[in-house]
Amino acid sequence: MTEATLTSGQIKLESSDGETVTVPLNVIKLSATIKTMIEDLGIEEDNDDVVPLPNVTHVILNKVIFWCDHHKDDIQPSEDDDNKEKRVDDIDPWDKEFLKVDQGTLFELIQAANYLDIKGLLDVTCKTVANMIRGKTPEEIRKTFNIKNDFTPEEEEQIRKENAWCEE
Amino acid sequence: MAVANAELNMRHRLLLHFPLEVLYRILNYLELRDILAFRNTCKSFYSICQSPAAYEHLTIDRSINFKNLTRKSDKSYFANTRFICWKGSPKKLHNFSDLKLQSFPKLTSLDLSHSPIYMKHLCKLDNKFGYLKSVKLCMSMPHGFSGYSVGLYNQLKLVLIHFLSQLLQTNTIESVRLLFTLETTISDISSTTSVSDLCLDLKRMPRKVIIENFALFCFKVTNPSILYSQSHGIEEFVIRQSDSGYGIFTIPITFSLPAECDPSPQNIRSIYLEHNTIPKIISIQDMNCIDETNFHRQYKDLNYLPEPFLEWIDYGKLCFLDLSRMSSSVTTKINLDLLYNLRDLNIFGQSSILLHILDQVHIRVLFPNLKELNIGGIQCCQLFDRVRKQILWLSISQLTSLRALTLTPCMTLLPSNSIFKDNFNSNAYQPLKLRKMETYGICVPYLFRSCPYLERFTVTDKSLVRCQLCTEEYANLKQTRKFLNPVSSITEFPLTYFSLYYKQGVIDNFSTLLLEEIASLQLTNLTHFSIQTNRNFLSNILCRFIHDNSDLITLRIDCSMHFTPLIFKSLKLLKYLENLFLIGSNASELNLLESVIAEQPLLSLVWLHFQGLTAKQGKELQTRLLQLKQVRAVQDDNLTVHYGIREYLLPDNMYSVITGYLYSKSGISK
Repeated sequence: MTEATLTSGQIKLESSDGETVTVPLNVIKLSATIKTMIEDLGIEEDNDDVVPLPNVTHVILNKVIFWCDHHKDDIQPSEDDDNKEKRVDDIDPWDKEFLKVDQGTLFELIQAANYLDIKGLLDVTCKTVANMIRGKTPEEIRKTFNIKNDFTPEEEEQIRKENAWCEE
Repeated sequence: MAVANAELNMRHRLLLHFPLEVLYRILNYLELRDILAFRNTCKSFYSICQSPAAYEHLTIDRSINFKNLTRKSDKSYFANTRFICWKGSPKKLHNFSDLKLQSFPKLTSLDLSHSPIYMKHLCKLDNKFGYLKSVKLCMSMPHGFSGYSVGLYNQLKLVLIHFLSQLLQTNTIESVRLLFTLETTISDISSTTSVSDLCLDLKRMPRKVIIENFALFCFKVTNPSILYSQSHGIEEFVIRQSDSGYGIFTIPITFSLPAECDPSPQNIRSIYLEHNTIPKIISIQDMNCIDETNFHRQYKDLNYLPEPFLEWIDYGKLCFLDLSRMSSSVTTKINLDLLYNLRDLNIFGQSSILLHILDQVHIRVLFPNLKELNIGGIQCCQLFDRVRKQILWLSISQLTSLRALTLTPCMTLLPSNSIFKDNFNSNAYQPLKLRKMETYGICVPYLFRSCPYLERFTVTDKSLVRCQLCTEEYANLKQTRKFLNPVSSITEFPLTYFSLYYKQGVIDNFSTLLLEEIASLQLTNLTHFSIQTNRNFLSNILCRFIHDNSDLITLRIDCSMHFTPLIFKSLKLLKYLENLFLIGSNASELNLLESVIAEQPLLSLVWLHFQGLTAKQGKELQTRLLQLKQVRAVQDDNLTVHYGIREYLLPDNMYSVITGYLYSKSGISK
């Protein structure tokens, strides 16, 4: 990331494992959290202040910055977009490729996007998880996410009855 | 292996420890079936999906998958509302087969129409209706779908019963309204359904239950205390059967109370058994304890009640009586002499009763407390000779506590010149100095003087037959106008509401006359005015009237021709105008109307009704309406509310009438 062309000021971010990454402001502006931090803490660009990110490892941070760099010129989704129809088949091909990662990384990206409040990244990662759930039976979902079935047989029967209404 | 397991555990832990808002965000991308599958993977996710917070986050706005919607109007409608109001028939359900219903953000009112799939989904969501207060369920059975509809009907009823059972567990529910539109024959339904199938086992009752057109329904009350409990008892129970051409039939509404139950529910204040409804089993003890204030309502349609009911009625308590649709075999059994508490009487079309009243005694003697009176009907008029008209008019004028009067049709009931002549010569009316009034129009100010509390006067004339006569008398009026100087000591009249209707195109001299008379009075309390006219020459009088009554809140003008610019100009004088109805509008007047809207700060509703449009004109009008910045909503004739202008995807000939709210400041109100 440090190789990126710097056309504006930069800011230093420190990951949870102590790595410091320098990132252009026009890239990291996609993170509402950092934007607020800069404003609230009075951090000035191009100085030695470091913004600590205790919830994000440097591996994930670099991936987040990579994503932000690619999307820095996108039109940012507004709050109204929350009320739009929810689609899962509109993931950008670049994002699709970017998110071809193992589940652990995907989940960490979701958590980082949530912590850093990067709406676009959160949307696309959540859509990816939703796509992993879609069309699967509970058993298949358990298998996909390694979830332990802790229902008793009686409870399962009760659930089956509840779901009878769903069957067309 | 150990490392792999640790990684798997971490994955599991990660998913479980996602912040809830992230989980909800993921769920929001899923359809109901997937949400259910996800919910059923483990206890943690089950409880997460069941929590009220989950329903807060998942929004019903996204509940429609638009891919299969063909009508743009549906799209825009669903996109903008949080109410579900399904317009369409079950025929179209296949279009909506991949609905996904997610949740109800602070939904207080739920309107389900023709949507068993929705109900199915609602059932699945385990009645988490945290804020729901009222529910309206409408289901339609299309005619000509006998094989299909019977199956569908059976499906609907099961869904409905299940859904209601669940819904009624929700503590916030206060009102349930079931509307069943049966366009198929009753025999189709009854042959495939037994009453027990539709038995709703009520453990808890909402305060208000309205059941409309439900062919077979059975309430089985398992917990009788719900009928007595102050906090949970039914307060209003309405069973209504619309006039749908089936004739009279018995609806086996069964209140099934346990044997040990004392059948005297204290809280039921109203039981409406309207139209063709006949209760099969209902004890008279239940009826007798009903609060007096609403007691009358249950007997609104005595005609259809079994005869014993007539004997059960305590006529002395009756304060509302609508005899307008009764057969003489029923009305003759009613003891009019006991109706001394009657406050509201409708004897439209009941000539024999009216004649009885007039021939035997005065209305005032029989009904000393009468506040509302509706009389008329062709049958009555044909029987009315000069003397009877005189008696009638004098009777009405003696109802000094009268607050509302409806005359239909007015012309044949109003006294003629000579009646006034004869009558006003008597000493009794000397103080009013009305002896020289010689036209029909005179009766109106006369009425106002006679009945000082009259607040609402409605003249409805649907079948005027004396047009010619009136025209002649209008000419006479011109000559006698000089005598029409109201000299009563009363200078202010309490009239707040005035409306005049008659069959369009028949006559307008009368309305002109009446309007002139009304305008000549100082109606300082008049706030609602409604008049029908079909002649432009009225506009000057109307403008003067508007000028003289600038405090009007509601104004309705029906006009078959377009409104003159002068009228629009005068509308700007109405400084308190809130509701404006222009029936018979013309698209060319929209500019003028726009300027009125701009200058009326309080105006919150403009209702327009365009008639006689060709398909092309209809389309042009829509385009024009869409260009108006004030346009907020348009409502079609079926009272289905749409935000924005509805796209009329109707056959071309349906453009002949476009009715709509042009402007509604406070959003949609039905």
